[in-house]
Amino acid sequence: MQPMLRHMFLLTALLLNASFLAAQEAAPAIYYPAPRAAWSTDVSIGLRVLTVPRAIAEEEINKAPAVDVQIAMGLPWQFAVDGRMVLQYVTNHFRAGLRWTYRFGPLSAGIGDDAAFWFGFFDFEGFDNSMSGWINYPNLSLGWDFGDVRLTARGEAIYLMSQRSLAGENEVSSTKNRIAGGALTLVLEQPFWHDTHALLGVRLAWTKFHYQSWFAFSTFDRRLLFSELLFGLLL
Amino acid sequence: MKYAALIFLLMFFVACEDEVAVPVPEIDPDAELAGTGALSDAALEALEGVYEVVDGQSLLGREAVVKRTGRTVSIFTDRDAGYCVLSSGEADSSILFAGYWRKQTGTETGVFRAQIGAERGGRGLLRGQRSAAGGTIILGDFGNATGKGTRPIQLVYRRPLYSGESPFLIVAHRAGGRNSDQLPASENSAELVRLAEGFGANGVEIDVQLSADGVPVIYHDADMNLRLNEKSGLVGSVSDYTIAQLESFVRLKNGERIPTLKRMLATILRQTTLRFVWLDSKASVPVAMLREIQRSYEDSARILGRDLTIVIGLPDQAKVEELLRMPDYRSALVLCETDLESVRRTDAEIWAPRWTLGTQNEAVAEVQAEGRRVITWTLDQAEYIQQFIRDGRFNGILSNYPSLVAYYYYVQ
Repeated sequence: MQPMLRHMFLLTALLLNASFLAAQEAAPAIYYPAPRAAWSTDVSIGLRVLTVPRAIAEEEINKAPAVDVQIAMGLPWQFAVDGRMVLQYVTNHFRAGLRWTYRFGPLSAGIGDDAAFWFGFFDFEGFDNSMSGWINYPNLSLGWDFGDVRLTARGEAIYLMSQRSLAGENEVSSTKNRIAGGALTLVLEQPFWHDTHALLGVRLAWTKFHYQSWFAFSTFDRRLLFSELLFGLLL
Repeated sequence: MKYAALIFLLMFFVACEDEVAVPVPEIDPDAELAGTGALSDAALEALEGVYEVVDGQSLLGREAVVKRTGRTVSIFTDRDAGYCVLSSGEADSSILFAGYWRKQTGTETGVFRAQIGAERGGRGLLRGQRSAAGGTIILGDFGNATGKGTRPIQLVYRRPLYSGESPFLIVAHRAGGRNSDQLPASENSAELVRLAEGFGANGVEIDVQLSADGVPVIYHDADMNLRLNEKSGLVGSVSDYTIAQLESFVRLKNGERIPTLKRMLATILRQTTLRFVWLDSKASVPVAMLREIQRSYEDSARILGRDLTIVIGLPDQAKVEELLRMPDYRSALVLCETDLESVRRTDAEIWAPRWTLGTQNEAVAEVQAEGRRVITWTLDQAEYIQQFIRDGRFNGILSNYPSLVAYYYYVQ
């Protein structure tokens, strides 16, 4: 996994660098789906904390914090690209996508599609496991600009494209190609401290599978609620 | 931060989660089979086999295992970890079945009725004669939980069940399965252990804690919580309360009492044909106390002519050292979950490595060559169960899905 960690570090450095190069014309935002100036870039760095449902976590630790790095960059014709890395060492998720945005008064809307690759590995305390997969997230966003504060609701489907796991020397691959569920994210982006901005939100996923709970090897073919608290500083 | 309240309100809302039980369908097998006679042991064993599913593949897939499970007959499939638990009876040289089906990965369940007509193999089976391929046909139907929306079932006998050189242990976790799988009885209850054979198990694992007045009781977590029991007003560790308090004030998730270890073993001994019990000794319960109870129930099993092995599980190094401090530790049958050195030091009958370490065929063969058995835990994923049975060398598997283990083992 060493090369993978090196790539993650490089990607983080690139994202940070991009934020300093970007010309900021408006208050920074990652989620708010208003059209942004072409090539203008916003970056957020923060934390997200997932609560794994009791049915899966039982008496084990059911809070999973992770570092969350997000980037949004404007493109011509009201398009934008999004990127996100969720890093937790044992589980890591890289997501990128394209969206088209439109603004009408204080309201903004966006439609997009993201693809994500994730992987996890565990090699201690009786575990010798790894798992990886591809997920697709078609999404719709609706935002309201209150002035200083912008509220965004983003709905997305969670479509599992493929998964692969390894226990000891035993490998299992399965192409799921199925909708696992959906998620609703509510985010506030607003001034935080002096000239800084922050985002605060919650993501509620109603899904049969959540990548951050992979090591529980859940067998349930029913949807469970995974809630995440998000906090990020907009750079 | 004026909208933060909205978000935190939402967080509070989603923090409230609970499992909904899956009720056993509205069918009374005793009433359905009123007037029929009980099948002989020979007839029950003769109908066992791998059957081709001609009608009913949405429930049972293409191939199903029909297996006698104690006094019930079960059908196992790899489709959605599904199974049927059926009572049986004979009338006019035919064999009748009534019971329920369940898809354990989800919450679907319903009623199941079938029969083997006299001329479709029933007459021969009742004489204890196994049929040739195609010689036994099970016809019936299955519906939803209220018996409506029925669809036809047709199973045709194809071949006998696989049987290895030594009996394979299919061990049901927590006396039959987890509460999160929404079974008809609570995990680690005496009520569930009576159902475990119907799910495909021939052994069970149970979790032993100690009450404040020194009575071993069956409960998984160290602290009482709403995952395992109804609201009781009692909080904190199980070991903070006496057995009288636990029995008076605590009801498990489906309303049962917390069983004592002795009550659980008596139930297993007298009301099931299970042949293996794994006592998972939690931190609070002394190994020496488990040894005394193990000895007592081994004697009872011998007197009753029951083939029952009870092993004391050693989940960690602290329990290994505790056992080794006992002067007669070699007389106890133990199952060691830790490393191979501890397996040898304790002279454990069974080594039980976690499944996430893989099949470890070389280490397993080495331990088996020393006359020990190896059981892996807790393996629930269908793909891995299939792979571990096909490629592994284990003597048994501990699972929350004993029906899946049974299916993949017997169809080999």
